[in-house]
Amino acid sequence: MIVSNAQLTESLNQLALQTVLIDPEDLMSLGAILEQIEKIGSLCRDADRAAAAALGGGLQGLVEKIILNEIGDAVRAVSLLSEGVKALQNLIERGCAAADDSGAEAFWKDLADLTGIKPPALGKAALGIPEHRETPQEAASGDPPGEASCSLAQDQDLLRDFISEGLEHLDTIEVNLINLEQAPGDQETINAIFRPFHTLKGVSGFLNLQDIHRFSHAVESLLDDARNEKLSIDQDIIDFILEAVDLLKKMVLEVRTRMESGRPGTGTWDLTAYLQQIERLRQPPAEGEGLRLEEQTNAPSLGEILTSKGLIAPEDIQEALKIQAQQQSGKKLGEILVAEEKVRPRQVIEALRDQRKISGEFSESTVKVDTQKLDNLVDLVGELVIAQSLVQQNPIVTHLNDPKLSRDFGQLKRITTDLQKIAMSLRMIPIRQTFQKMIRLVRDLARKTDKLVELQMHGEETEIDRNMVEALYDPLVHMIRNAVDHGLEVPAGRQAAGKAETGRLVLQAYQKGGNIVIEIEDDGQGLNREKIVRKARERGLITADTPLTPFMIDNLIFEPGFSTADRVTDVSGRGVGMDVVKRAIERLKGKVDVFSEEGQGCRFAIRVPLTLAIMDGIIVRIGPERYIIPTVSIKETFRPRPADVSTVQTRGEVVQVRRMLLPLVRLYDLLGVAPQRREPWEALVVVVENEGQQRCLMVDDLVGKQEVVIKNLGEKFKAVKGLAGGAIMGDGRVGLILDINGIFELHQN
Amino acid sequence: MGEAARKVDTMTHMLRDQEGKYLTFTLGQEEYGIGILKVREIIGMMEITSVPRTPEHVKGVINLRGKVIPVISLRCRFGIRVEDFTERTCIIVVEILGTTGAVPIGIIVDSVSEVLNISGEDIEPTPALGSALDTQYILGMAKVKGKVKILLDIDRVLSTDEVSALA
Repeated sequence: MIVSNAQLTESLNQLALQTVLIDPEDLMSLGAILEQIEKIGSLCRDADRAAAAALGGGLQGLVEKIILNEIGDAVRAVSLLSEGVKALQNLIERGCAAADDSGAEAFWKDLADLTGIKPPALGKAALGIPEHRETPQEAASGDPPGEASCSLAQDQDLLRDFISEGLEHLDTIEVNLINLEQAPGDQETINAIFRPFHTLKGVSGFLNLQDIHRFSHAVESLLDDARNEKLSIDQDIIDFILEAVDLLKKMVLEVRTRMESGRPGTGTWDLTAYLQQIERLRQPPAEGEGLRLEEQTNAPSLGEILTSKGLIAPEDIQEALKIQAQQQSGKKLGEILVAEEKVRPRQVIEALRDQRKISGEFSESTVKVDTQKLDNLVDLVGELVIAQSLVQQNPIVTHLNDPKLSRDFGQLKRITTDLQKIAMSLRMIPIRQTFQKMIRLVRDLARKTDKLVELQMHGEETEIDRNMVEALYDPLVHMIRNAVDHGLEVPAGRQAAGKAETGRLVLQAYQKGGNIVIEIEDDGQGLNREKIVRKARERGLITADTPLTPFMIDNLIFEPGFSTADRVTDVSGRGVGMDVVKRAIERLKGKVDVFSEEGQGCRFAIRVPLTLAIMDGIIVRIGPERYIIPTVSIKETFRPRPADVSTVQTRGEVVQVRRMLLPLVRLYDLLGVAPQRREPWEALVVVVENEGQQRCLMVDDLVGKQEVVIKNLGEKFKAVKGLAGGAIMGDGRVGLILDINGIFELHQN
Repeated sequence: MGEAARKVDTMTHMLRDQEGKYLTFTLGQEEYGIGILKVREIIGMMEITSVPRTPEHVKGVINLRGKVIPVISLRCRFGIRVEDFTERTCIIVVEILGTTGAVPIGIIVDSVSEVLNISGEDIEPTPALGSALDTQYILGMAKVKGKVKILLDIDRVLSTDEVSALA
C-alpha cells in the first residue's frame, strides 16, 4: 500500500500537469488523460480506496464526454476536470483521514449537473472512506459508471454516429496498416492506427457495447506495446490486426442491423481465440531481439519549432533534453519545458499543432452535411436558373432594350451558372476511398495466389458522384480479382518471360469530357486470343467464318458465361465472369473496353458519366404531353413509309428498319394519352435499344434535346411502371422520363 | 363510475385530443378541416403533368420549387362531382407520413377558408353514416357557428398503400 501510494502521487502529479495543458479539442492529450485516469483508478482499487476510485470513474466519464463532444460548455467541462483532479489529489494525499470531503462532493454535484453522471452507489458516508470493493472495481475497470452507459434503445443517435464513425475509423486503420507493412518502424503510422482504436474503445465502452469494447481494448494494448517499442511489428501482427479489423467491422455492422431491425441489444461474440492470440503476440520473442524500431518522423521536432518561432533559446532545449535523458521518466519535452517555466503551455500546444500540420495530419478541413440539405440546395439552384430565364424571356423585358439591363442580366447569368456548378460539385467526392479499399484487396489476393504485386494508383483525387462511387465498387473488385488471379503470372513464370518478379497493377482515374475514365492495367500475360476464339466457337457465340478483329476478340470476354481460366480458383473463375462487370457498368450508363497485348499485359477502361443525377435526354411529344427518352438508349429516329409497317396476326405490328423487323410500340396506348397522329407514317418512330432488344416507339414529334436533372417521383409512384423519374423542364413544368426497360415489359404484356 | 359513464369519459378524452388549430377549406357545399401541423403551404393552381397508369384521383405531379410532388384531387377521392378549376381553386401542400419520413403531397380543393381554433367540446364523433360511406378517415365533426366542419385524418385519406394498390 505504501509503494502504491508513491506511484499514485506520481501518476496524480502527471495527471494534474496534463490537465493544465488541456485543450478540449486536442483529442490526443485527452486520450492520454483518459489513460492516466484509468491507471490511477486501477491503482486506487489496488490500494483499497473506494472513494478515490469512484472519483476516478467519474472523471473518466467526464473525459469521455469531452472527447465525444457531448458537453456544450467545453470551458466549464475543462474547469470541472481540473477541479475533479484537485479533489482527487486532496482525497489521496490526506489518505483515509478525511470523512467529509467538500471538494469531491462539489465535483460530483457539478458533474451531475453538467453531464448527468452520478456517483456510483457508494452511499454518501462511504464517499470518503474505503469500504465496498465491488463498486469501485467496476468504476475503475474501464467501464464508465452505470448511469452514464445507456441502453441501445435510448441513444439511437449516438449509436448511429458510432456506427458510421466506427466504420470510417476501421477503414482508416486498414489503410494505415498496409502503410505500416511497408514501413514497420514508423511511429507516426503506429500512432495513426492506435488513435482510432482508442476512440473506438472509448466510445463502445461508453455505449455499453461490451464485446466491441473488450476486443478493441485488447487490440489497443497490443498496439500500445508496439508503440512503446516492447514489441516489433511483423507480418503476423499485421495479419492479425487486419483480421481483428474485419471482426470489428462485422461487430459494428451487427449493431447496425440490430438497431435497424429495432431489436436493441448486442450479440455475443466468442472472442476467446482472438484474445488468446493477442496474449501470445504480446509475449516478447523467445530468442534474438525482434528488429528494433527506428523512430522516423518527417516532421520537425518540437524543439525546432519552438526555436524557429523565437519562443525559446536553443540552449534551453538542450538542457531540457538533458533533463529528459536524466530522469528517464518518459516525460515529453513540452512537459519538461513547461515545468521549468521556459515556455507557456499555450505556446507548446500551438507548436504541437504546427508539428501535426507539417506532418500532414488533420490537414483536411471538411464539414459533414446531410445529403438531404445538399439535394435541397441543388433543387433550389435549378429553380433559380429557370426563374431567371423566365424573367429574361418575358416579352415585356425583352422589349425594353436597355443596355444596362442586359449587362446586369449577363452578370446575373454568370453568377447563377457558377452557383449551379458549385452546387453540383458538392455531391462529388474523390474516388480515393474506393481506391484505398483496393489496397487491402490486392494485398490479400497476392498472398492467396502467391504472387508479388505492386499496386500503383493515380488520380485518386478525381471527383465523382458519391452514389457512383458506391456503385463502382463491386465491378472494380471483380476486375482487380481477375487481373491478379488470371492476368499476373507467378514470380517464376514472370522470370521465365523475362519480366521483373513483382507484377505491376496500375489503377488510375481521370476525367475526360463529361465522363470519368477508370483504368485497370496489369503487366501480366494478357488475353489468350486463340483460347477465346476457341471457347467462343464452342459456346456458339461466333461461327467459324465470323470476321474478327483483335479488339473484337478481346471484347468477347464480356459475353455471358465466358471464362477462360482452366482451373476454378478460390479467387475468381467461378463462371461469373466479366459479363457481370459489363452489366453493372451499363446500369451506370457507362461502357467498358479491354485492350490487351499478349505477353505484355492487359488494360480495362471503364467509362462512366460524372453523375447519375444528370441525364442527356430527347424530349418527345405525344398529344399534349411531353416525355423524355434517355439519349443513350436511342438508336435512330425516322418516319416510316406505309409499306414498311405490317401487322402480325392483325395484332402485333412490326416496322421494317434496314432489313430488320422491329416491333412497333404505340406509346399513346401504353401511356393512355390522346395522340395527335394515329398512323405510324404520319408520326415518327424512335428506335430504342434495351439489353440487346430493339423496338420502335411511336411518338407525335421530337421537341428537342436537353440535359436534365433526374428527380425521384417518390414512393407514391413507385409501383408505376414505365417511368424512370421526373425532370424540371425549361418552362418550370415537370416532364416525365421514360424507363425503356419498363416500357418494353409493358408492351410484352 | 358506471360502464357507460366511463365510455363517455374516454370518448370525450379522445375528442379533446383533437382540439386545436385547423385549416378549413371547401369542396362543393361542404366544409372540411385538416390539422394545421400537417399543412406545409398553400399554393395557387398550376399546370399539372399527368402521370400515366395511375388512379383517377391522382392528378399528376407538379414542380414545387425544384421538388417533384404528387397532386391529388380531393373531389375525385371523395367521389364528389368534379368541376372545372376556378381562380379560387388551390393546392394545399400537406406532409403525410410515408415509409421513409414525411412526404409532401398536394391536394386540390375548391377554396381555402380560414384557420380555426376548435375546442374539444365542439367536436363530435363521426356518426354512423351507413355502409355506403367510408368514415374511417374522418376524425370527427366540428360545429362552429352553427356550421359543420368535417375534420379529416389526412394521413389516412392519402395513405400510400391505397395508391400503389390501384396503380
